[in-house]
Amino acid sequence: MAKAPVAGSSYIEVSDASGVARDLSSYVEAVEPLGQQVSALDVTGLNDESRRLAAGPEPVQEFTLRGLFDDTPVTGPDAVLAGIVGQVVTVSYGPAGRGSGQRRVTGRFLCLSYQVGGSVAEGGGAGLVRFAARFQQSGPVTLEVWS
Amino acid sequence: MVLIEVRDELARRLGRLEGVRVYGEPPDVVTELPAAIIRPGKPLAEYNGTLAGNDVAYGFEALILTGSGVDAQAWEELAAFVAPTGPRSVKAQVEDATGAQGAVDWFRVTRASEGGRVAYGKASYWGVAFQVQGYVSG
Repeated sequence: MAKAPVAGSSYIEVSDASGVARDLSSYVEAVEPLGQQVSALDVTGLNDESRRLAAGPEPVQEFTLRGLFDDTPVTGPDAVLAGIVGQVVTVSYGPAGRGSGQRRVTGRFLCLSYQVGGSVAEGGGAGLVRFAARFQQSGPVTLEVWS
Repeated sequence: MVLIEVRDELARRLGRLEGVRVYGEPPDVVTELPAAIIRPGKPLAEYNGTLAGNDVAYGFEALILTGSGVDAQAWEELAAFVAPTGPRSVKAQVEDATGAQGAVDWFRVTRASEGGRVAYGKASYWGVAFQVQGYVSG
């Protein structure tokens, strides 16, 4: 067990329009928090002295992938993400990598948007073209481990 | 080694500058002017741009020395190197990817600094230092 740096550890894959999982780790800079959630159902009875809650259905999660635009055919983020806007695809996230036994967060998500932009300079360096892709949960998100 | 590949490609592109002697490695003494001398930049490398962490932005300094005297012609020479376009424009020639070789995705000349009197070795020259970034995808 150990803490894990994001760069060099984390892994993200998104299914393309054909359902093939594409590793986008070399392009993605940030993954918004993604995991398992439940809603709270109030099951307090008339004779209860305090409120009681039970786990309800999963609420809908939304998250954004942000990264570096790259137009590599088939496997690059532009090819993968531009082809799935409006489609429900599988997204799998390995916060500490995708080695056997590592945490895997996976689920089906509707790709709500794929947007591209950038500014010319950042801190005196060369500005890079970046993308943002927004996803909304469509079905259960599970916490598993990579096999 | 990728760093050497990127430096060599930078030297090739600087070689497009008309009449300029390019030094891929800093010489002890500059014998021909104008000269372009490639030195390690600060920072030399920036990592960790993505989850995979394997992209690298290499930093270089391209020091252009034009002569030892300062007069109207020296200013004109400096102006040509600093211009954003033209056959002696460092920015235009370095960023032009025509015939690109090696691992580098692209070069960007991000700034020119130290324009004017520049000390190199034991001598003083008229010149300017350009900061150059060479990006390599992992």
